[in-house]
Amino acid sequence: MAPNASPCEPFTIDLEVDPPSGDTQLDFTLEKICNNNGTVGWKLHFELDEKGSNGKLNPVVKLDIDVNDEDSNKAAATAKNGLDDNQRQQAAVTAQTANSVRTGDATQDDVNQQGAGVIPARDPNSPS
Amino acid sequence: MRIRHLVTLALAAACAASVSGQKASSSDLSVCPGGPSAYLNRVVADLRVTSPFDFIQAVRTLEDRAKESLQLKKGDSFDANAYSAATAALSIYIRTRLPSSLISFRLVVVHGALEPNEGGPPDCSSGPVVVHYHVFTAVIPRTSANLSEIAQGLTERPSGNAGALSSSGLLKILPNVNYNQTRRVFAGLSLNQALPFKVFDHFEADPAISPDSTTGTVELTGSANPAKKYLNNVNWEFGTQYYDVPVDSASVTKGLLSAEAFASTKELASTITFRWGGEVAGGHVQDSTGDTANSSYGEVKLLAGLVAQHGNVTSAATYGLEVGRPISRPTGTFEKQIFDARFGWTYAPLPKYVTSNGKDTDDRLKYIGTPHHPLTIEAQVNAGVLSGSAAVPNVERFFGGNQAQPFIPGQPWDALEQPYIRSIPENRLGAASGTDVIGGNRFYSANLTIAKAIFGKALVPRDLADEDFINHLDSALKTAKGELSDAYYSKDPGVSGVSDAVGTLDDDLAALKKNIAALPPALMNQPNVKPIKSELNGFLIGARAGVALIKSGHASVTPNLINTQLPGLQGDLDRLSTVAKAAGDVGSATAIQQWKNLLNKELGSLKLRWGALDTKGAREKADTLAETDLAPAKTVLNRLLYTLNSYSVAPVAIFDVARLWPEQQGTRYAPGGGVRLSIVNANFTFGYAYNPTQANHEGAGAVFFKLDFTDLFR
Repeated sequence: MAPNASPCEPFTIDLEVDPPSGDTQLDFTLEKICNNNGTVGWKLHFELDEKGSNGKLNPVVKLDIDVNDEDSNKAAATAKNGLDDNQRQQAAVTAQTANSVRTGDATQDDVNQQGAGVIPARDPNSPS
Repeated sequence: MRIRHLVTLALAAACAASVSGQKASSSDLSVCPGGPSAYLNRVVADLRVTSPFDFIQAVRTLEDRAKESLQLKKGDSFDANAYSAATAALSIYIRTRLPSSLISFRLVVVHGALEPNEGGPPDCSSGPVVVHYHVFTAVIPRTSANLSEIAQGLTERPSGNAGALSSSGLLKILPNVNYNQTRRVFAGLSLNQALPFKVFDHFEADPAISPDSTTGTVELTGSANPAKKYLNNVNWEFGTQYYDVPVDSASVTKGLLSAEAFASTKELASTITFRWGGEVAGGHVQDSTGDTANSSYGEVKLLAGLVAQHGNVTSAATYGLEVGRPISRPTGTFEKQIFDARFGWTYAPLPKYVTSNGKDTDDRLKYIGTPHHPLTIEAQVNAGVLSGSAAVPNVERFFGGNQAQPFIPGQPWDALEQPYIRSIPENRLGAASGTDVIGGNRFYSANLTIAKAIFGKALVPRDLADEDFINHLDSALKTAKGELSDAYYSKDPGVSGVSDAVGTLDDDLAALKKNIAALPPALMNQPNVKPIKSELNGFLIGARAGVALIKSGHASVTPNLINTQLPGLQGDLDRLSTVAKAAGDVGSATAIQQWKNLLNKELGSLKLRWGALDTKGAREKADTLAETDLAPAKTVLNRLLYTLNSYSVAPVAIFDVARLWPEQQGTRYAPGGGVRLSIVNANFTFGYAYNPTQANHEGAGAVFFKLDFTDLFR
């Protein structure tokens, strides 16, 4: 966990987007955590819902990912500037991997592994 | 339709801007080093989820329920982890209870803050601590959808996400008492009940009665939101209308059974929206003057118009046609045509950073929490003419006054049927008593209203003028734009062809998975191979997912495949080959190199194909489309953050002109003034207008009252 240089204020940014296709719904939640030991942590929640044959949204992916300490700067940059192109692509790959769990081509561990790559995927040239 | 108006207030409150709070303590924290961990084990004196809209019960209820769901409670020992976790718990609780329509984006930002020794000097070493959560929520359609519909759902639906906020399925009854010089004191009710039916999902009624007047509608209503370019939303109503209001010494009465439907497009060219509607009705008309008194009656009404919104300017024009016929008498049909044009301009300056699209210095914080003083100019012109049969029922003729009469009761936008002049009481213009025929057969009226807010309180509290808060809003908007842009980008013909270039790659990756699984256990079980194997598996899964996405039309992930997954896979194959070679397994090392070379070939051809496509042009187009989609959201957020007051008071100046034929009084005027109380986007205007050319049956002027709403999309 990163040392807390200035007083930590926890927050959550929770964004739900409905792509134009009209059959999916994406939810990104980035959470800053102030721990009891004075350290700062980050958590990414990622959820994908797809419209089923009944017209209702059903969850396909629900992931809670603890962001590694070494990626806390990227998490802070994401909280400030949003997901960049690379991170969105990695999020899409995570969702697709989750779909593959249903067909037996991937496991939940695979999904977690892909999800853990979302924050680190930030382009070093993206705004920090 | 009073309920709809009230609901529009909730729109601003609960939907576009629902919850925010006083950021009381970011500075308090700075005086106590160590952050939340410095408060461990101190007693939580209070736990608050605050909002400037606490006066709305629906919002208050949502906050209270969200608070109850938290692990951290009042009286507990403070725990920093539980305090932090509550921001996410609150955000999820609130977001999942906001209306969802698959055409919007929903944003919740929750900030936690602590206040040591509330009300006294900060005590950093002991004593209780107050925990605050400040929540900012936006539910905004991506394109010009019907925001009031969302607000209505938020406050009225009995089940699901919206209903949890307020009504919980109970019949909503709002009593009201009103006064005007024609009807005197009249009392009424607004009733609204959601129904468990598909076609008609609401029951609405708004009766209002005085000793000598009765008005009201009782309706079953329904709506749909197809969100298509030429059919963005549609609503329909079936019910009864009743109108019995004195016209000077006479009375005119109309009771109808009616079916109505209204629809509108999305924004077409240059922010123009087209809307239309109609009504078929039949019933009875009656008056106390003779002629067509007491007759069965039928009518058809059609309404069509345009509304254009550009920056701070809104303009609208509506044309209405009615064909009616007293059925009991052989008098033939008559036609009524009305025209309604409106113009509104509000000068409420936005931060330069916003107007320059981020090119100017960021001055947004200066606008948050400081009272705003908008100048508003509203102008309106109405005209109408009757033709056809001369035996028009009196209730269908033109009367004027200070009460705006809709062309079709229940219509979702304003279009007046009668002249509007604020110096003359309702139905007194054109009320020549003592004859069988009253009212006019043609008219025009024009109205001008100018208001300038002189004091008020900003909607968003000053304590939210915090760089972090602005950054987090920006972050969410950028992510939303990126997601939308990716979706458009993938559909662009300029890049979608890349799916042809990954056909054999898919087969190669499937074969690679089998080949790796078949490598000798002696090699794969080596301790230094395990991390390679794990990483390689990740890249292989990621690459296959990327290929599957591209094949299914998500070309936007191609850079991830080219720059991350495939190079990562190649790197791991290289490392694995090196280990195999070092272990003396030359056969495996050679095979692995061959697989890598094959991938390299595929990667090369994919790069070549991708490089030949107009990715830059496609991205620019996609960004433009995404920006267009998000424009209403940005507009609402900008209005909310930088121009809206929770309340404001403005002096008002008015001037009206009206003329009705064949009345003998000629052109009539209404200079006057008053005061406007605005609560969020609901404007209550009271005033007095002087009547300089009063007829015998008129007074020296009239008190006027008007309730209207500022359009947050403007």
